[in-house]
Amino acid sequence: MGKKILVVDDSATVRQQVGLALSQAGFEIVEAVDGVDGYDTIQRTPGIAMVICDVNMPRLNGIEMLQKVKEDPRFATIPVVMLTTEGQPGLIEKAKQAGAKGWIVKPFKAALLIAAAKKLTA
Amino acid sequence: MLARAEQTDRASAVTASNPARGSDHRERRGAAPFSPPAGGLREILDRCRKDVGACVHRAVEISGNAVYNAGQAIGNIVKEAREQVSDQQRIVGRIDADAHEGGEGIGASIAAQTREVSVFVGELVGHTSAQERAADFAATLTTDIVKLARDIDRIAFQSRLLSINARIECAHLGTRGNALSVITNEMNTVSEEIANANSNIARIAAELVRVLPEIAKQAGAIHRTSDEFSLHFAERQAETARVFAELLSATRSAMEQAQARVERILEMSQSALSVMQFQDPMAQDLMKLEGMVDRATGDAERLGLSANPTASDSVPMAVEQAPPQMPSIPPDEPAQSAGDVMLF
Repeated sequence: MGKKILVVDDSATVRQQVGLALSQAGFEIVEAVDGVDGYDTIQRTPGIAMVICDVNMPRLNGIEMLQKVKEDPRFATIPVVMLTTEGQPGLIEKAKQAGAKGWIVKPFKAALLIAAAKKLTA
Repeated sequence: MLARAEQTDRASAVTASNPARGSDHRERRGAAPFSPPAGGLREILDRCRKDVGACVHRAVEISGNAVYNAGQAIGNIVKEAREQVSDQQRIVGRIDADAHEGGEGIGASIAAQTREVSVFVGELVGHTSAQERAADFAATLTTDIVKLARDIDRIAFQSRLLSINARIECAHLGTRGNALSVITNEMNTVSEEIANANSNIARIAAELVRVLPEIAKQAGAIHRTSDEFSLHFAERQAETARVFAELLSATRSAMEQAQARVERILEMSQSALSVMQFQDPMAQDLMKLEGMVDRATGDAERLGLSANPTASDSVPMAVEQAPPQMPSIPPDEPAQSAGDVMLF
């Protein structure tokens, strides 16, 4: 099996599209529906190589989930990429300071997403 | 669009039929500011976002399944067609090798058999020709024997005649001729034996003369039959070669047609696949739509439209009043566009 990538998004469509693109590139996909579910999934799923995370989500948004992941020394080294419709520099900077490794604006291009995933999981 | 136009037409019609009622309506709206529903604009946007998301998900799922199934079917067709092409190419290659490379091929086998039969027929013709010549020679010898037998018969007759004359002369001599008489008797006996032997030789020679032409005739028949067989075999060989060439040509033609058909299937499959690639842009468009709703929800949040509306959320809708100005979003001006990937 390929490397595990956790996709956190409250949109099933986005999860489906991201999963389709990355699974075709040989990655194994794990899904979560919001920030709380995403953090729980990281804790109970060993071997996650990368997280792709939406920003605007119910219960716990993407930036908050990113902060929780980076504060936990067990998962601090997992690269997290934000995948969102937002493109404001302030939000991007905030994510960067929180430890995000990348920012992708929806709708994404599959080839670029795959390239980013391959680079960050290499 | 059409529904909205119909609604506008309908509203215009109502106002036109009852101008006073329209005026009252404007006054009423001007007097009391419009308030969002109890759940607030944010809730409406959330609901809208969920509805759009569900529709988008369903559309993408249906489209994805349809494309996946069609892709699987076309993939199977393409795979089968490629296998057929591969098989046909292998068959054509084998036929070509058999026909042209010799050795184990059908053509080479026919040629080898033809050569063997030709050699055999040639040897047979040679033997029959020798047999004919031998029969002719034997016939010539037999004729000579018959001539010799006649000479011998003539000599035997003269010997017997001489012995008779000698016996007569012995009789004239009386007792003095008795001794000679014994010799003449013996000569007569030998002459008769020679005549009998000669008669047997003549009979055998006559039999040979009668049989030898029959042998020569049979040899000639064998010769003619061999010639006819050679000619017939050559014709059959040419016919076999022609049929084999036609078979080869027909097989190649059939293979080429089949290959053309398979290539056509491949082209059609590729076309179908390329047509089906609409799925990805469509999904992107749908996700863009979902993103727009998502962004609207975020904007509503930044505008301060809470789930529990207060008086400040009320949007004045009076026609006479200036329309509410949408606050600008700075300082978070969008700096990234759709599809951009930025790695830190």
